[in-house]
Amino acid sequence: MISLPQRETKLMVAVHGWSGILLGLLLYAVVVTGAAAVFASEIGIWSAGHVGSRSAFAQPMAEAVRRAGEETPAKYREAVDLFEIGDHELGAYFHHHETDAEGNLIARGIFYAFGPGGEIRERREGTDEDVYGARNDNALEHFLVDTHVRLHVPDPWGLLLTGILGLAMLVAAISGLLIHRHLFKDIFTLRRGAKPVLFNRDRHSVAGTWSLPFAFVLAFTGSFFSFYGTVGVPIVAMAAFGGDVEALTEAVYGTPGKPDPRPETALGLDRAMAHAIQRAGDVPTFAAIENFGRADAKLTTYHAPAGGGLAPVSLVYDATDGTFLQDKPLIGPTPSAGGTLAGIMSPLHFGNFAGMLSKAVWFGLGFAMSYVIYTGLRLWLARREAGSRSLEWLERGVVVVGFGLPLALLACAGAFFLSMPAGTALFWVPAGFLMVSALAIGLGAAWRDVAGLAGALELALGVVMLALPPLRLITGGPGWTTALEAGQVIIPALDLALLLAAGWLLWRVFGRLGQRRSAQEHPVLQAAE
Amino acid sequence: MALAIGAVVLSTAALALLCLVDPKRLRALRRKGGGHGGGLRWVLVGVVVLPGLALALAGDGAAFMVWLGAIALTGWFVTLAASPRAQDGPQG
Amino acid sequence: MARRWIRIAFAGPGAVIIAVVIMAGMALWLPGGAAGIDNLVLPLVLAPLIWAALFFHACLDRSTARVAAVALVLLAIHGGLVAHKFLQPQPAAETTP
Repeated sequence: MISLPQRETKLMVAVHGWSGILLGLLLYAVVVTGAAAVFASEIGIWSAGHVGSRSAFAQPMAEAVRRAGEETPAKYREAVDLFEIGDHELGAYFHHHETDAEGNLIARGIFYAFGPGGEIRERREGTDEDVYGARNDNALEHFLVDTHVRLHVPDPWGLLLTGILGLAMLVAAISGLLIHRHLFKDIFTLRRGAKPVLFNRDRHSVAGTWSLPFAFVLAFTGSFFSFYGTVGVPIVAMAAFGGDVEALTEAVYGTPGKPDPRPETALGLDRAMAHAIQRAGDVPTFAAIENFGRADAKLTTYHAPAGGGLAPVSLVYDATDGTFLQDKPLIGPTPSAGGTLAGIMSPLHFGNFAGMLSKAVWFGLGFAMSYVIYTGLRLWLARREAGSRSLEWLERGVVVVGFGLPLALLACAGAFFLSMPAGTALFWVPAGFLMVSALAIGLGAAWRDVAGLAGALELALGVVMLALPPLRLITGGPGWTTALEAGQVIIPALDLALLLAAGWLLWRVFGRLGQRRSAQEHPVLQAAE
Repeated sequence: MALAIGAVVLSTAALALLCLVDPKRLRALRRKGGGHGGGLRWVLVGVVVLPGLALALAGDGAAFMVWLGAIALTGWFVTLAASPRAQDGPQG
Repeated sequence: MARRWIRIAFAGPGAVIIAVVIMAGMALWLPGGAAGIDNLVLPLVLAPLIWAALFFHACLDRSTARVAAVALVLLAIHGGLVAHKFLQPQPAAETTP
């Protein structure tokens, strides 16, 4: 498609190949967990057995929040975050912003969890990390997202690492485009019966070509997310506000309005919430109150996009009497080009702008991109095969990570089911992951041949997928009838998806075994696809 | 979202046809009929792109993005489905 | 041989450093836009693309001299803008945190 001179093409091949082989396995981990994380909240609901279908935002909350406010020191009433925790229960985090010892902007305050009748069930002091961190009932969901966002490396290094991996993917996408001279001519050609190098090249470039635009978008938005807090905000704050990150945050996110510190009760919450649900077409995903207890208190509700929009919707209300004030863009006090651009970064990355449909497509694209990375690594190895046994450790490593990572993630779900009832999920989910990873690595070292290793891991994947729905039921999870009666379709849907995927994998594995037997002494060099 | 799904179905049908008449694929399969020339293929490309263009022009950004992502996947699946199973395994 | 190292320098650490300086400088020359935030938000959003552009330019431009020139000019302009802002006397009353 783009004809570069030979020297430049060779350089691009080197850049593409080396960035791929050095960072490919880590990038594969980020992409696989990213694909799964598209359904993080559904996985959370499925794993914890949440059957509640009525949102906490759809029920009166003003009284509960008012009582919590009375118990909260005045300094923490600067802002209140309202969100759902557990099984559609209300959580409120009264806090103020401060700069910690390292100069980072953090929130500190008091978190409340409310029971179904509005009574305060839990009260805890802490920073935003404590409040929004992992709990027993969302340990699986949290583990998955944390692996994707920072590979469990502490901040800011984890974010910098995933940011660099995002840039590597951006480089791979662009260099891949520059290398491939006949992008559209080759797009439908997949020669399965060809020699390993040609076959690997075809399957890598076909999948890569089809997913190229999205690889670009996801790499770019992903590295944006990783870098903007760690590097971007401090740099821009330094340049524009002399280092005052709070001033930058206020300029970008703040709600305009004249300050009015006279005390006044936030009586308008329920009225505002009802209006917001009607105007946006659905319950909010999150809500925030500024200046709680003052006459200038404002409530902002955040909703998923509606009516063909990509960016989330946010509505601002006067919290004292519930009057609707404005449709506020997510970024910036009024609509703007910069605000719109920044506002679509999330929907483009998470694929959550059109409910299940967009999530399903984004999951599929994530799967395609994982496949591109895996086949790229196999291609790099196939090109260097030529009788060399010195790279066999790398080939085994690629297969172990390629199949072992999804296996370890699924095993986490099993560990979660076994440990959540006892309240020890926060330990056992990562422990389960590490144990199964070690097992996969052990298999990788011990198994006779690479093709057999791939088949064995694929079989293990199918078996674990098959076992998860029954395990969920045995450990006390709600059955399909209970879930459907409560209007919760996600639980049966995820069970079904696992069973179907297991069926497909096992069909492939046993199909190949059957082929092998009938082919007798044909050496099976066909790599597991 | 029904519009988006409809657009995806239409574009995928055109992609499937494009795949079937693709000259390079047919050459690789050593099939007869060296594929159709430019004319038919450009028409099919038009049919692929048109539904998405319509969604974009109608201002439905969400449906457009769903369509774009979905046809990337369906195009890939069509290619996979249209490639023959390896009968005897790869040689060499 | 020296040319190769120059390219590697500009494609590697050079691209990172210059992209960061461009990000800082852009906040100072971009217009604020309808909401007064474009100059704050656009450098953040475009940062990965700015880095990628510098990287690929360093790799693909035939002339090493031009690679160095473009990179250094961008560095000078944006670094200069930032330095100029900091060397200005600060106004007496600043926002207190």
